[in-house]
Amino acid sequence: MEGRPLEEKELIERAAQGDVEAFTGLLRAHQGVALRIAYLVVRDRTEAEDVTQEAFLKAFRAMPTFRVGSAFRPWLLAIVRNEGLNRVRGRNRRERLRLRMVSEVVSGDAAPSPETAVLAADARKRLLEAVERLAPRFRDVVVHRYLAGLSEEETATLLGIPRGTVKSRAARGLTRLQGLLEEAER
Amino acid sequence: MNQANLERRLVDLAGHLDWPERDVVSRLQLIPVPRRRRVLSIAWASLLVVLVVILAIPAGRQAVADLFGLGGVVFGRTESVSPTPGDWLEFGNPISRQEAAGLLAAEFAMPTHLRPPDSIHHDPALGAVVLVWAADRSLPALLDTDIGILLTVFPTPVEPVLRKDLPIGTEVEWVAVREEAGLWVEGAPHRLVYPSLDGDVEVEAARLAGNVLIWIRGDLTYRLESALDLASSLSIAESVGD
Repeated sequence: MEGRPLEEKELIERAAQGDVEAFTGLLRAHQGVALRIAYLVVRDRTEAEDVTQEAFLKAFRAMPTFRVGSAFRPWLLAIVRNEGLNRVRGRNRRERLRLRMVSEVVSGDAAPSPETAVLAADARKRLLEAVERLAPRFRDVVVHRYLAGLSEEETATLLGIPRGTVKSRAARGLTRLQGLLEEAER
Repeated sequence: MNQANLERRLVDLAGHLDWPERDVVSRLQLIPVPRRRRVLSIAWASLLVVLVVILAIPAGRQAVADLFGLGGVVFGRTESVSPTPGDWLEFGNPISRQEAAGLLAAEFAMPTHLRPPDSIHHDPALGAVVLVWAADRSLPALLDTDIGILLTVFPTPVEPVLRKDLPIGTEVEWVAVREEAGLWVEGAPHRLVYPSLDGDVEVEAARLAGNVLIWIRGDLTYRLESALDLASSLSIAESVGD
């Protein structure tokens, strides 16, 4: 694992000098999480792809001013999130879109059983509904930490809040999520 | 269910969401930035040379400012402007420094000749970031407010997005900020006019401005408003990105 940060550091240095291939390599390494961050904001697959593409172009234009030595991924993701927020602000009168799960077809030979698979899918659906019902300040932290898979530090940078606040909001968000799930089961 | 179990369920849920998966990197067409920046710089230098020649003719000075504008700011004339200090308070939503960097594609830098700003805001009408410094012993107050400096930063648009109505008694002077063209506006308070959020309605009474220095750095337009003189304003402007 020690080779990877060195490799990224070299890519960043070359990208900051205007090396397109190096910058493209950096984007490929972080494209997956960037698409997730965009989707969490705009909640539409196609628009999330457009947002990510536009944000990548902005990041490329800004790359010569990137401070080599600082963390690249949070910087890139902040550009993606803000591009997404700009789109959402532009459509604020529309109904708010919701996160969606992939359609799952349960086959007859599903393991351990088709019934179990259906129950698991139903449990996920209820969990997602509960996540959507969280207050925005808790939901933002929960979805970035657990659905996008960001670290506490990255979540703090992206949301512009202290790391301690991420920690406390994640804990309180999970407690509230638990309460919402219990409420839904009554 | 304990929190660790709930965390595991959320991670499992993440694996079943309908995430976008298209490879957007392969659709990008990237042109190396440094070459473009050099061209821009040369273009501004050429413009400045032309302007220096034209500005040597006193009668042509205001006409040039009206004609060209700078960095998305265009100038017009008005008879007078009445101060409405309360308008100063409308800067937009408070944001963090990281959010500001993201909104401006991280190109913008803080002036090192000033302490960190007391607040940062996002003005969605302009797509601008507004940095505010409170007045203190070293920063005189702007007009009737307790604000020392307002620094507005926004991506330089192709078409002008700001219009300044300049009453009689306000002077406009072309200056150089780190070899880039800049404009210095000093004198009577003037009015800033910009489009509303829905784009069609152009005039929206906004803020009153004190002395203003406008300059371009990279792809961004900077607009520094204060009660400071030209030398102090230039010193702050040239410290951006030091």
